[in-house]
Amino acid sequence: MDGPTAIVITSGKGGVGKTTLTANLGTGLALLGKRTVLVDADIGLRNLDVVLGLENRIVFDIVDVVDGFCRLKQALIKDKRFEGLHLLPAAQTKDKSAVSPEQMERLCKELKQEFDVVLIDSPAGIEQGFRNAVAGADAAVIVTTPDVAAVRDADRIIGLLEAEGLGEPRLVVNRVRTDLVRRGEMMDVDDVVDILAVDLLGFVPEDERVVIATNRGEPAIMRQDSPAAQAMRDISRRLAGEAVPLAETAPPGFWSRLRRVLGLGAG
Amino acid sequence: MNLRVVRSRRRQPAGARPPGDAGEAGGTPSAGASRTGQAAGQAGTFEAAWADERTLLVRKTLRCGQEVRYPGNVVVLGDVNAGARVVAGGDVIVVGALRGLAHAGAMDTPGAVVYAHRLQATQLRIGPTVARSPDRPGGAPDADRRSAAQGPEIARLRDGMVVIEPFPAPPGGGG
Ligand SMILES: Nc1ncnc2c1ncn2[C@@H]1O[C@H](COP(=O)(O)OP(=O)(O)O)[C@@H](O)[C@H]1O
Ligand SMILES: [Mg+2]
Repeated sequence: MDGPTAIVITSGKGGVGKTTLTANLGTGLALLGKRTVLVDADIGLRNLDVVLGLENRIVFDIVDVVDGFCRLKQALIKDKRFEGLHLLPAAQTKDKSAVSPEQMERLCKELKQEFDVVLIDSPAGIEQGFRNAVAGADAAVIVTTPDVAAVRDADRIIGLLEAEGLGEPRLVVNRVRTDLVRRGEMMDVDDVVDILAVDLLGFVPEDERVVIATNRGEPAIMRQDSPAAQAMRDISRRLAGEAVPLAETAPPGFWSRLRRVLGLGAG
Repeated sequence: MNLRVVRSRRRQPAGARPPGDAGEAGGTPSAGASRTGQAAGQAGTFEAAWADERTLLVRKTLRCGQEVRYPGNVVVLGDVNAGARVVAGGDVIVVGALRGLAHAGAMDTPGAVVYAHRLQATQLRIGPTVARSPDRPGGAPDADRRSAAQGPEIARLRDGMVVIEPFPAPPGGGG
C-alpha cells in the first residue's frame, strides 16, 4: 500500500459478508498500525455501526457531512477498543439518493488526508448506492460466496467496475464450507477464481463464531480459536501489502490446481 | 454465391456497429443491442454485412450482463462468462471458456460455427437453431461442467441440428 488508499468492499449480491469483512478487515488493518476509517455507504440500511458495537455513539452521519450540516470530524466515531479505527456511519432515515457520486469522491479525498486506509462498505445491487460506494475508491475488493448466483453477480460487478476505472479488483471468497467442497456439493475456491479470473486476496471459511461475535458487536478477527478470524487476519496483512502465502489455509482443490499450473498432471 | 453481389452493393449495413466500437464492447450494451436488434429483422441488410467478412476482436473477458453484437465474425480473446452473450452474423470464436450464450450465423448465414477453447455454454444458437445442454438432475454444481470440457470444440449445424465435436477432430474419428 503506497500512500492513502480508498478501497470499496462490494459484491452485487446481499448477505455474502461485505459488512462483516469491512468491520473485520478494518480492525485488522488498525491492529497493523494503519490509521483506518470505515465508511458505511449503505445509506438507509446502515449496520456497520451495529456490527462494530458503536451504534449508541452516532450523533451525525454521512448525509449530515455532505449536506454541510456538520464537519467531517464531528461525524467520525472513534472505536472504543482499537486505536486508529474510525467509523463514518450511514444515515438511517435517508435513502441512497441523499448522496451523489461527486460528493462521495470529495469525501474520500478528504478522508485520505487524515487516514492511511478508507474502507467503504457497499450496499448490494448495481444502482446508485453501488455507484456512490465506488465513486471515491482507488481499488475494489469483491466478496462472493461459492455459489452460482453470488458468483454470477460478482462477475457482473467486475464488469461494472471496469467501466468505473476499477479494472483490477481482488477477490475474497467467503463462507467456504470445506465439508461440502470435499463432497463435491459446493464450488471450491479455484472454481470461483477460474470463472472470475481476478486475483484472489483470500478465502474465509464458514464459521459460526463470526455470527456470534457479530451479534455481540465485536469483530471476530480478534478470536484465536476461529479459522475465519485467522483467514481475515491474513487478508488484512495482504491488503496492507505483506506477502502472506495463500496455501496455509487452502482447502482441497487448491493443490490440484497448482499441480495443473505446474504441469504435473490433471488434478 | 450471391454474396459477392451483395458485397459490392453495400459495405456498411444500416444500424450495425462500426468497427471502432469494438473497444467499448459491453460498455453500453443496451445501446448496441437496440441498434442492431432493430436491424435483425432485415435479413438482406445483414447478408450484406456478412459479405463484408469483417471480424471483431474482443480482447477481454465478457462478464455477466455484457453483450457484443456484430454483423461479421467475433473473436473473443478471453472468456465469455455465464450471463454474457455474443451475437455474430458470422462465426463466434472464443479463445477461452464459453459459459454464456453464443449465437453464430445470427442472420442465417450458411455454415456459421461456434468454436471455443472450453465449450461450457448452457445454450448455443446457430442460425435459427437453438441447442441447450442436457438438464442435469439436481443441477449439480460446477465440477460437472468442468469435466465435460476436455478440449477445444466446435459447434455447427448438420441437417438442422447443432452438432458439437472436438476440434481439431481426433485422428481416426468419424466426421
Ligand atoms: N465467514 C462467515 N461464517 C459464518 N457467517 C458469516 C461469515 N461471513 C458472514 N457471515 C454472516 O452472514 C451474514 C451476512 O453478512 P453481512 O456481512 O451482513 O453481508 P452483506 O453486508 O454482504 O449483506 C451475517 O449474519 C454474518 O454474520
Ligand atoms: Mg451489508
